[in-house]
Amino acid sequence: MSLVIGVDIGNSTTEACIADVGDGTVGRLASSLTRTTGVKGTPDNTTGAVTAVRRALEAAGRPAGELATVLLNEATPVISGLAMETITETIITESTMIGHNPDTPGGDGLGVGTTVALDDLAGVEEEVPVVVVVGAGADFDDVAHLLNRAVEQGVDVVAAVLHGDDAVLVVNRLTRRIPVVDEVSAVDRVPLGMLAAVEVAAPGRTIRTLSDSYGLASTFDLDAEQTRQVSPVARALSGNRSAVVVRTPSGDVTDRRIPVGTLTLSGAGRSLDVGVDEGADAIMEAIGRVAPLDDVHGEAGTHVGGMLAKVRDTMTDVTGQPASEIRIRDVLAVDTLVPAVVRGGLAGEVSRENAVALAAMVRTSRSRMQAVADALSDELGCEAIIGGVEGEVAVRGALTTPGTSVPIAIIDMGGGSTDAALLDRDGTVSAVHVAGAGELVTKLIDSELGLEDRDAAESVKRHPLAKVESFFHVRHEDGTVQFFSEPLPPHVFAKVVTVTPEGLAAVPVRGPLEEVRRVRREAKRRVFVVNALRALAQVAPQGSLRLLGSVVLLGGSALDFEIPGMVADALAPYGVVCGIGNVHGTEGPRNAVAAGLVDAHAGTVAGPAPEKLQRQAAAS
Amino acid sequence: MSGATSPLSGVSVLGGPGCHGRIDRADDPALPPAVLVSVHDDAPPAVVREVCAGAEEQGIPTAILAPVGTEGDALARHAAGESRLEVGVGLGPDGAVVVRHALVAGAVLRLAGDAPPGRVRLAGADAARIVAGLPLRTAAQALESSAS
Repeated sequence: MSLVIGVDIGNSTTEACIADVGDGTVGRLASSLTRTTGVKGTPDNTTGAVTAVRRALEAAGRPAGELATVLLNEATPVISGLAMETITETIITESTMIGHNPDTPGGDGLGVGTTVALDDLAGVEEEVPVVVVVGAGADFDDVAHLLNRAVEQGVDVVAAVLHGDDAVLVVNRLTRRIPVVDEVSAVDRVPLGMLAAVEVAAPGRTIRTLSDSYGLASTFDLDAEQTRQVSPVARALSGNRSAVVVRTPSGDVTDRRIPVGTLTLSGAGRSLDVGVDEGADAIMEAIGRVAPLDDVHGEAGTHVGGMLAKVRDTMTDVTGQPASEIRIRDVLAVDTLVPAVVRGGLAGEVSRENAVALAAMVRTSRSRMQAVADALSDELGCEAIIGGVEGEVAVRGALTTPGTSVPIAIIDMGGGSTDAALLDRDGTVSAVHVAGAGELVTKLIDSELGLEDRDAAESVKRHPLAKVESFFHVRHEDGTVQFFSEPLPPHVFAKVVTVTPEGLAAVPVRGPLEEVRRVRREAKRRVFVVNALRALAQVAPQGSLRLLGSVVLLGGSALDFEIPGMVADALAPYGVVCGIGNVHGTEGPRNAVAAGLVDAHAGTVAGPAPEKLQRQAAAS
Repeated sequence: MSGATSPLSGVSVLGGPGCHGRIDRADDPALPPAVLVSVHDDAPPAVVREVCAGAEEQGIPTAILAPVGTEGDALARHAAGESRLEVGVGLGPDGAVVVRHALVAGAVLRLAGDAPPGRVRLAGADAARIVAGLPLRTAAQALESSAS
């Protein structure tokens, strides 16, 4: 018997599995997990690997002196990058539109009149409809008093626009009820002496006139050409409970596409340019046309170009290979909607802009694992050998999951890339890595919800949601109610929260839980489900998923509460048995490679691998 | 908005149209459910006005309850206990604001007596938002002050 430890250095975690290996027998003792230090496949990994080994020895209660062999996977550096380009932009010129949703607008209905400042109300002619514009610092009692007095004097006050949050207070004190929009932060930039319309819908309703092109045309007496011009205004306002539109001579809302450069894709002996602003579908379709992809270049000065260059540079730093030799082998493009503050807006209006998120991946065959092995050997005073290619070893590990058999495919869903491998009946293993995994999901959640907080996005990705409905109960996203005997803290009251092991964490969004849930699930679907199908199609016999017998999900994301189910659902129509890996029936989806290394090592002692693996799988 | 429909409107206009005015007994069946504001006799009227305005902007009625106690927290506790909406605000002699929920042991939020009018308005709005089931806007600050 000898003490053997398998160490799997992954993109984000380093796992170790310690076992007593005898003549063809493997007695597993313990496993451990730590963060990978440095880029996978580089000498920096040594520190993390040593930590993993020490922890595994500790867990097994064995002294380091007994360790005979450390087995390392043949890890090659995989560097992935993420970039996002916003490809549309809404610009309000000349302050023509205020379309925002204050929590509490006042009154309801539509008022159309000429804009006039509160202080100038005295000089207004009778019977001329006016929209009163109230600046910062005005008190609601004073405003109401002045408006009431003006109405008494015969001024036709039809609506008001306020700086402060007091529309309801003002309306409650008016003798004549008018629509009032408040919380207009840049109220001083509302042009005066112009025709304006203010619309407020009753609670639970959305505006109907200003959010409709012909409604705007009727309100402002527009001809067909002018109506065409204002139709973006109508679109931008739809779904709001309140809005203000001011008609200025040259005012405009434009909806423009931002040129964000092109991607040059080369592969299959040709080269193809695709504009990033054409969207994810066009990019993915172009990638399909040049498959297999040899390399991708982006335009300098764009986010995507910068990201691709950075990926290349990092790989150069890591491997010492010149940048010109590094090829980007896979790109995943995803369409997304990003909330962006409207340029020229007066109330911090936000519009949802189209964006394209891009994940790219580069991989080299130049591994520096020998350096890691040498360093480990010095540090631990034992033999350190590199044992087998990742995909192959992972499949071996996955095969120890009860209920699996050859042919078997795995999907390893990590942080930067999604890997698939297939072990065929004849013992051949084919493996593929595609760009886009957990990090991209986090990025999509972060940008679509407008969180600008990576930790909050990570929390949304990892944990189910709930809505705090009172100080004592929450409603989970599936509808289950949970009661607490201690009051929940005020900062989570009525909030959408993530249910984490450490407690409830408020998600900084204004939208309902359903919206956050939809964004989260869509992000996971567009990355993991799409990538699982894409990667499996590349390893499947004749590219047909129907010919895959079983698919085992591995990696950190296989521990996710919903990703495995989503992938399994997507594979179900192909008649594939898909489930979460359970390495050796105990380890779950982790540790497949580390355990696979040990098994392979024991296998080399005992005889040919695949048949034995099958026997092992059957026995376990 | 509720001011116009209140059967008690016109009793007192201390808190404005959103306020049912000064009441002596919270269990008066004619009084619609309201956030009760218990005001110490020496509390500055401006603070009362802002608290009531904050709640009114949120569309939740208030009523001024005769004080039982001498400082903000005790006043708030009494008001919350009496309120059919289970939310009470206590305004201490120095203008300190305490918002309480009848079923929650600690204060939901507290403001010192020298808080600017905008913050007092927000505290009133938050008292209303507890009733409405909306996230509190001063919750983060309240946490700081209750921790200190």
